[in-house]
Amino acid sequence: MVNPLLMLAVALGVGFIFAWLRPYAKTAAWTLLYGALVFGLAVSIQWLTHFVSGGVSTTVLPGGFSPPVGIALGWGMKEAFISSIVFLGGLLGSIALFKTWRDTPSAGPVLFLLTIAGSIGLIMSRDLFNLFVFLEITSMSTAGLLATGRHHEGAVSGFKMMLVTGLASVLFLIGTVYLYRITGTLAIDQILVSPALAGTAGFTASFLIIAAILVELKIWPANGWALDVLTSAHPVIAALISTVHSVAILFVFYKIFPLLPPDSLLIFTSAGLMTFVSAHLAGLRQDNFQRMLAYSSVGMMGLFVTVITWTSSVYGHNIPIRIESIILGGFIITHLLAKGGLFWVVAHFKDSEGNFDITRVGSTTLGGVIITGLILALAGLPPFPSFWAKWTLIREIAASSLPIVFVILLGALFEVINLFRWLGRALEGESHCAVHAPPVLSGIALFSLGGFSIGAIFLGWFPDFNISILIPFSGLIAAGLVAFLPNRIQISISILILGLAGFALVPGASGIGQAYTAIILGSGALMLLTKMEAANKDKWQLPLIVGTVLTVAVLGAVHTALEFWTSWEMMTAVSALLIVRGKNAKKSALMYWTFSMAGAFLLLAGLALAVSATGQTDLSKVFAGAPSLSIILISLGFLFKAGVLGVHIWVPDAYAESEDDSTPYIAALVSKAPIIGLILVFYYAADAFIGPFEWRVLIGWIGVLTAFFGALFASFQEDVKKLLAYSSMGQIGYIIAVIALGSYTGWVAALYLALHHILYKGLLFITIAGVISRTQTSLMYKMGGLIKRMPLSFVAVLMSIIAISGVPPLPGFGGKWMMYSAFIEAGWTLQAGVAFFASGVAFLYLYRLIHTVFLGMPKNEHINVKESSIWRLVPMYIIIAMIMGIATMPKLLLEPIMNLVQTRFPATMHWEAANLISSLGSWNGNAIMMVTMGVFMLPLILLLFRVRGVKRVKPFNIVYAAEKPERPETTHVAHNFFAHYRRAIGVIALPRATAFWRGVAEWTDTLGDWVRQWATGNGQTYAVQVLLFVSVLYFFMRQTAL
Amino acid sequence: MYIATKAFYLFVSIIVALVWGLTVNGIVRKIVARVHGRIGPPVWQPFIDIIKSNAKRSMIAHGVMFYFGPVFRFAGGLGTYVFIPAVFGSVVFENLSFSGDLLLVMYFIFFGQLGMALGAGEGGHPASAIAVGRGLAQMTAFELPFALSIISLATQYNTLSITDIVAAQQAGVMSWTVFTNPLATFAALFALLGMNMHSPFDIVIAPQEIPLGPPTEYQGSLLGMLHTNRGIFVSAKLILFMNLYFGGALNLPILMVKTFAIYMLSVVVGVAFPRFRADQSIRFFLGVPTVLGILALLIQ
Repeated sequence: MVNPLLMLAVALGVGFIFAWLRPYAKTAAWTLLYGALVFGLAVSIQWLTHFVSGGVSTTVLPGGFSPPVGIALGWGMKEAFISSIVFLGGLLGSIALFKTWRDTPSAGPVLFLLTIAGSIGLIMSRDLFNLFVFLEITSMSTAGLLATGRHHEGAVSGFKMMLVTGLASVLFLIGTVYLYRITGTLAIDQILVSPALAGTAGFTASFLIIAAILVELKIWPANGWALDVLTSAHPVIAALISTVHSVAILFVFYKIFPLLPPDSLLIFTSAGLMTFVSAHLAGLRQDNFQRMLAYSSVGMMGLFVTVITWTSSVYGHNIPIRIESIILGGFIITHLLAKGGLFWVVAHFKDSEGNFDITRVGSTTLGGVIITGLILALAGLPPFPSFWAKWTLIREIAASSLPIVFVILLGALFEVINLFRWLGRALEGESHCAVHAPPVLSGIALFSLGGFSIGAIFLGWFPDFNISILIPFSGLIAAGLVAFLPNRIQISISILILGLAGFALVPGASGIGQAYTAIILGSGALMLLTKMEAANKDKWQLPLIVGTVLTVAVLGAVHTALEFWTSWEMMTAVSALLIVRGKNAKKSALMYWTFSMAGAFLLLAGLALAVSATGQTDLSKVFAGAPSLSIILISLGFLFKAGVLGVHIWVPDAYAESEDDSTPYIAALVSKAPIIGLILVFYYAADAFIGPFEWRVLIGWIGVLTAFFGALFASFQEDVKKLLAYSSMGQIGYIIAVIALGSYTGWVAALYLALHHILYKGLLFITIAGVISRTQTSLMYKMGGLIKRMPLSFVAVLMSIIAISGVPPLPGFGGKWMMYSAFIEAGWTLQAGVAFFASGVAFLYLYRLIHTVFLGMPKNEHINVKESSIWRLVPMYIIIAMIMGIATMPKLLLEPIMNLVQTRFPATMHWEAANLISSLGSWNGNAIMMVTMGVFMLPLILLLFRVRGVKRVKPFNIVYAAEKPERPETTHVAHNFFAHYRRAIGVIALPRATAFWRGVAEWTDTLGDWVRQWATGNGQTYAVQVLLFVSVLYFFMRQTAL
Repeated sequence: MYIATKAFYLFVSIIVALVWGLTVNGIVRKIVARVHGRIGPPVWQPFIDIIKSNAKRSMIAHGVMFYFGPVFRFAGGLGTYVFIPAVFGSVVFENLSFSGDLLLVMYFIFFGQLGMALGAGEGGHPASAIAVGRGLAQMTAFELPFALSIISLATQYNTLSITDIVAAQQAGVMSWTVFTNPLATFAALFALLGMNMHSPFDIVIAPQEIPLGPPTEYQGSLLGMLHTNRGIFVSAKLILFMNLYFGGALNLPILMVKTFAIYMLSVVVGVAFPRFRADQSIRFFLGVPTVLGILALLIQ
């Protein structure tokens, strides 16, 4: 094994030789520089492998004497890991800087190597004064690096850095001197066991040392200097400071924080949390991407401090190595590669004047993929390492410290909102920017991130995770790889991918989940047929559709809590990316993302709490033994995603602004994810909903009120897609309400309604997408009379609205019949009344939909529109055939559903021939269909005898009295169609939820602005802030210690 | 054989309901005219209207849906009637009530209304859409107290079967729902006022001042079919209310007396009160009638 000290020596040595050699032998100098970095990386990885295989940690004594006489350097697995990170970051950074260094000779490469060497020293050293020396080396070298940029801001920020880190060094040195005075040693390991440490002097000295490191770690509010540094530095240097240097200092903190008593850990945790939340809060206000990354870096340091101190307080100092590796390792790798990768993206796309426009990043598909991947990695989404770290962290601390979990998740929510906002901007520029070469280095970082995760899964670090859950990613990538093929071949392959995924996922699933997965995949494949219609304008859309269908489908095939959470996160991410593809969908997608992630985090908190409380990983056992609080959190997460009343404001815009061809997948399929989630949680944890607090009754009320308000809001819409969006909200409300009943009839109704909703909502959106593509508008009053031009589409919408309204003989009536029966059986009579009212109000929007679009006066500009293409009509009429089949023979569908539900509840309905008998009444779908056909045919035949007398006339124009109103649509009968209804009860339909959430957003924004203003840009203010921070921290710590 | 017999019984039942419905409509028109101080049309005017309309040489159609509108409407009325058992214990008048229960009838009422609304919509005249919009809006409002009343009945009798509800009221007059559950009955009777669209809830058809709209746009056999439906549909509604709240009927004379009496409620209110605007009408139904319905549920 190579002596680890050599890494340090070689880096320092090469640093000095490089400066001397470069003027004479450039190639040799560069070879030496990169050789030193590769050497360091190779040695670190060699040692890391050694330690992972069971090697024992060692101590290096450079002078040959043991402490307190000599200096001791520690070298174990953690040191080897961090050292690998430092060298990897250094190597990638130096590659990114090569061109700059080559073109403008400066001391940059030397200072760069010095920073790396100093960081290695910080990692290895276990001597306080030695640490001080390395702190000084790295401070000076990084300040020097900032100055090499030769622009004013860099030099100024370097000066601020020197000012603040100088103060920190003074504190560190004073603390070191005092500790040496009272313990007689500078070796950390000896100080830690010294009885003198327990006194006031020991406490104060230790505090000064740790406070200095906290300042170096950029803890809020003493971090304004760091924000300026990371914003003004060359992006690659900023990456070096943010990742390599900061991680090395973090390791120093890791070594020395046990100097203070365990009671004081909460103060560190709080400081870390405040930094994490405040950084991401202030980040929301940024319109400079690099500064946003600076805030993100600072936030990450806060999270690290929180994680280190709080996991220590949970476990004592005996944190299981696997847990520590996943949490800290996952976050650190992500920090290095994702954050570093994004800084490198900035460097790659900066123009000659130093301006960075994120919209340029999406100018190539690869560029778009890379920035999407890096941002998702930073946001902690699967399959990237931070996802596993986040899950493990929350799972480990949920049981003991739920409030801390909530604060972490709040900060994480701010972070993901911020990141997605920037992602939306990046992807927006794809079509109208000059094409740039993709950022290869960042691509390598992204690839490595994925590799780490997949490697960890294969190493068996997550025994409760089956790799098949990542099938959606394979599907998405496979569909993306064939994006260059002709459209119809692409779609055929996509359908094949869904089929193959079905073969892989369906046999492994069971019960309701199995049926769910099969139905989602089948419906997705059927809907894909509509894409055959025309060439794909957006090469991202098809892979994302495939990804969305697969991520929704895989939810039915999961077995463990971790698998469920992974699938949920995948689905959230991919569906948000699908929505953001819409022309003006950036804001809507951000809203969808915000509410979805808020729901996802509630789900995470609930799942983590349940897993830690039960000690189980299997989803059924986790739910079955979960405490009530976790069940409430989990179901709240599902309700957020379902867009129930109060958190529904994302629904209309997300549906309306996504691409017309994407909406059916969001409306018909993604909306089923919370339904299967609720069914699973009720299936296994029904008892948790009944108790002193009737949580299920509340969910039931939320469900019926969602149904009512969904229908009411839908009635007042002018945009057909928003109308359908609110309609979906209403329909999902019914399903949630009957799930909450927790009864046999209720559940049969829920599954029946859910399946039915997939069919008719898919049919409606496919049909309406066809209408919009022909008429080029989604405003209903601009349409009209299309029945003559698009009769087959009219029939499809007619079938859909009859099915939705519950009018016999179509299968919607069966759903309504079971729903009311279930409500009345359970004694939920008022809920039944509200549901009935909602069902009545639904007629308003259903009539408006069909009348305004297809009936009434045709518009001149639509006089020649054509019927939808055959590729759209085929799936439409397959769905209609299925609806008619269910209507005629409901038993074929209901019997399997009833058998599935019977595994959970005793049956309260049974069949007598074709008659379905409940405890209250009966329903004979077959007979109803026959009677309806009979009573319909009778007058029709009578009329047909008179058909010769029929004279066809054309609609006539209505002329208004020569007035040209400012808003002509206001004179149209179809505009504000239900004005009288709005006048009657519109007051209850005022957008209160929108006003509430707008208020929340404004308050958050204002708070973020307030936090942002702490970083004034003035070095003296920063110095004062540091002193105040240290004083206040000392005050609180003394309170705790005393 | 069974199917032929059933079909014959059904035919008889439908004809009886149709004739009775048309007759009641004729009588009511006469009564209303007399209250207004007019002589009014003869009692058999509804029959004349049907014959006259069907005798027209031609009829205008704006398209397939326009043509289907009256078919839907008539099928809706016919279907609603055949799903209701008209005379308790009668083989001839039990109709096809085995197909489903009260919920089926409540939802089948919408079948004809929806079809009619679509048919009129294709005519293209805004007045049709305005009338339908008002009609649907008013319907959502009066259906609420009616639904609450029905739910209350379902809880009271523990069944949604109309036959079973009628059977439960056979122990004497005091066992009728109007006495055992008066709140639910009054909530439903308020709803009936809306359903019958007599004043003050006749803004939907606004017979005096809207020169166009569904009834005016249709003519010939199409209008004849709408006239026919008026007969069958009014019978269906009145029989349903009789069954649910007034003990049903053991024979046709009782059926006629009870349904006529129930209809008179709309007539009396209609001649006594002026018309509501659409929004006033909606607010009315969501007021007292709904509160009565909720109380009926809570007291249950």
